[in-house]
Amino acid sequence: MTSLPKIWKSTWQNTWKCTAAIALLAAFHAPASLGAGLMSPANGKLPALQIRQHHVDVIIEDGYAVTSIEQTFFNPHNQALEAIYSFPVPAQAAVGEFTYWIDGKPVTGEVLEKQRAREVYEQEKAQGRESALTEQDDYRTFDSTVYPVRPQAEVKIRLVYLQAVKVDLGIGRYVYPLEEGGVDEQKLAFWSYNEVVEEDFSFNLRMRSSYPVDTFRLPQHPAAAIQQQSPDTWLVSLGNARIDGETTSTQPAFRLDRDIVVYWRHQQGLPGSVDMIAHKPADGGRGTFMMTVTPGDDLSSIQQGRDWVFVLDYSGSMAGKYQSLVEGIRKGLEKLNPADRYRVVLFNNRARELTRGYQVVDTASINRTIADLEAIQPDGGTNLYAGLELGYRGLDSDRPSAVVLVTDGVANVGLTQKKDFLELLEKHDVRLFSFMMGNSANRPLLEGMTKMSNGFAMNISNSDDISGRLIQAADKLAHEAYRDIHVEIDGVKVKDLAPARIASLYRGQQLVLFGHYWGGGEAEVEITGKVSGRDVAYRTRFAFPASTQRNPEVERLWAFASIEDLQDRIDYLGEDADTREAIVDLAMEYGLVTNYTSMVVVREEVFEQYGMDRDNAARVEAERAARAQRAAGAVQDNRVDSAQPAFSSPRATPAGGSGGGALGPWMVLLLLPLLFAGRRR
Amino acid sequence: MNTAIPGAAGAPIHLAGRLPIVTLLLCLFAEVLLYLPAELHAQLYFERAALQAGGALGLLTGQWIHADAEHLYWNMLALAVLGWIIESHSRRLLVCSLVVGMLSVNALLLSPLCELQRYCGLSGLLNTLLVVAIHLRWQQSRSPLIACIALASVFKLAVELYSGQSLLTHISWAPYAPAHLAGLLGGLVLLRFRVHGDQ
Repeated sequence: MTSLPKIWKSTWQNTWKCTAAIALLAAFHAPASLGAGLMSPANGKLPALQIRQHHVDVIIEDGYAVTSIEQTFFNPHNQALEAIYSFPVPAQAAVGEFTYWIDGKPVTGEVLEKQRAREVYEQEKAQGRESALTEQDDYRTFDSTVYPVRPQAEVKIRLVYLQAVKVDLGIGRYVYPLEEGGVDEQKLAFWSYNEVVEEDFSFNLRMRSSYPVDTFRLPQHPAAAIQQQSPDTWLVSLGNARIDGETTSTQPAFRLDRDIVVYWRHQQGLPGSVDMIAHKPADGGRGTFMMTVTPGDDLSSIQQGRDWVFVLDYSGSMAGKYQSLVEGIRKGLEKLNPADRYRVVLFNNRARELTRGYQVVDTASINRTIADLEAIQPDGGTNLYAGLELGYRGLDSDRPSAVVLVTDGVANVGLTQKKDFLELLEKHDVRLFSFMMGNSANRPLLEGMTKMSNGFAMNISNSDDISGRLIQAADKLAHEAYRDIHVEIDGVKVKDLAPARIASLYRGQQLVLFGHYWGGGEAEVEITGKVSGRDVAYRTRFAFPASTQRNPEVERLWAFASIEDLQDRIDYLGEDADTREAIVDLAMEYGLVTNYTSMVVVREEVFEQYGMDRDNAARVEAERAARAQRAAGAVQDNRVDSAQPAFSSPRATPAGGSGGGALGPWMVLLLLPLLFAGRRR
Repeated sequence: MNTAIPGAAGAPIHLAGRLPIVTLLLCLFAEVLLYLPAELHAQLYFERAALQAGGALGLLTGQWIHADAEHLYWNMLALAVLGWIIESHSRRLLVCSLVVGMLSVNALLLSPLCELQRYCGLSGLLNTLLVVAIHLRWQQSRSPLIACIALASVFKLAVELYSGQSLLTHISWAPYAPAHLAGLLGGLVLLRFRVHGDQ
């Protein structure tokens, strides 16, 4: 809500936009990226397999997305191959299903400890039997190795992953990641492949939401068909396949070289709310819940001046983006508040300060900074630690400061362990805002750092709508934030909350909390925190269901969030046997691929020979049945605080968001006398 | 019945004698826009991103499209009342008021003062019509009631500008009172030129 006086005062708010501008404008004109999600022969000398079909089905409902990818590859060579299917790890995605068609029948994989899974795969391969293995390559990719891909034959696989979907300032965002490359570290054997889908490609995203959506947007795919099928159901379709599934030679091939980014915008004026979904079998025992808190808009804008330290990556991988980055800095600096000061630190193999100490915001210093930046040629590796260390040096303790980091790569020079970075940040009570460009940035490292500093990290795809992301980032930087958030639940036994620590929540962000509960019934829920030092509390009361089986996927989402907590602990304190074992146990129980566990597929009869229970296959089947049941039923309203709303104000929308006005009933009543008032002078 | 009212310049104003056809057509136009398919409806807002990409349609349609039925119907009722008063006096004056109102609101939306990404609704434009209608009535009657209506309208606008809240109305979009001020200023500018024109 904006009034004109507020607008006149809002010049200050423009200041904050500079930070986001610098980060986000750098994504303009990104170099052509290589595609991912492809299958290549393990012998890198051979050409890639052909992608004949690539079908993506996404269902977004009840606060999470289920992405199912089915691909058919063709081996044009005259020899049997071992092939690798590799795709970027999507943000916050729990891979729970990998299915490989053996003798024309789908066989779903089971999760084993990483080493054991590899052994099983190698044994099967040695015996010439069909086998497949899906492993996580740290934060970069999921790699599925398939054997054998017979000559002149097809291979069909399916991959399913789950991820919580958050709405930020009323805008939802889903990314189907396809771009890879452009970073310093590359798996060279992987880069010579065919990224063209020869026959059918389809991408279908179905959104079922009880909160009204008013439109969708795919900034890089304007040809997508967007259809509102009912008041609460939307379908976004993209592809080259004909409706009957057949293709002809006139169908254009589809290149898998660009992320598919889908935005949706909820109607304005929706209430701040608490939503919950759960899964609890009828036999009693333990239930799992996912609570989504969407605060009302009660954070004020920040008015005081600040010091800004921009830490910018100018390693070789930034070459194609560097001029845009400079232009972004120019625009950003021009919007700074006169009371602000700024420094610019650059890093590649080593770090150096571009500006000599803090600069005041005037035309001369901005022009000087821009000229200095323009004279630089990006090259070299990425010594992220050195850049940050220099950025944090010389902060003025008398003034509020913030560090803005923009990078598209991985730390590969100097100190590279997450623990070192976290220790560096721990020494400084300064917020770090990270802008991660592309799919190859070291997301766990950057997110871990920003979480510790109470800042926020933003992932930016080259397919993103840059101006929109700019608005979201600038809005957060210009407002207060919730700190030290704590959720207290009384009346129902609740344990195993994940994330274990909720650092901060910025304007427009949602809090998604997972946990276990026992029993059921009414519970008092209190969300407390601090805003600019003052205590805030929001209370509501609602029931935890005694039994529900609508959303079995919640169990995996909880397990994934818990594993992330454990991984954070390892990153910070170092790996210990207990934590590692806890991750392995969780991943095996809930069928998740992690750094310590992999998913292996063998012939159906062979699972038994290895003593492997078909737990994951049963879980996959239960989830599939639940999805079918949900699809057949009505969209469910998951809001649980309707009777006792936790928030009094509507949800936040961008400060530069939408607006309108109406002349209500009283104004119209006021007008009616006009009709007759002046009839006689 | 043919009710004649003296006009500002002494000419009779016919309330019931002349059908306010332009006003009725405009009301119908606004209603039709509301019931367009959602995906088309969303294309007709004033949208800064679309404008920057070269799509200027929102400048023409943004003020005629509404967020929801409540938003439309109260605005449409006000349009009917104000449009009737002005059209009864002069159809040309109504068209001029509409053009000036739209230009005023668009000028605000395009100015550096405005950070809105999207805008919809007639209310800004209606404030232009309100100024013109009050002026016409004041010219006719010098009635204290007209002065009271004018004062109440200004008071409402001042409160909305100060509080950032829309008084006595709830729509699904955040209220944007500066558009009302822009419309009101547009009305005053129009009257200023009109007075000069009359002289």
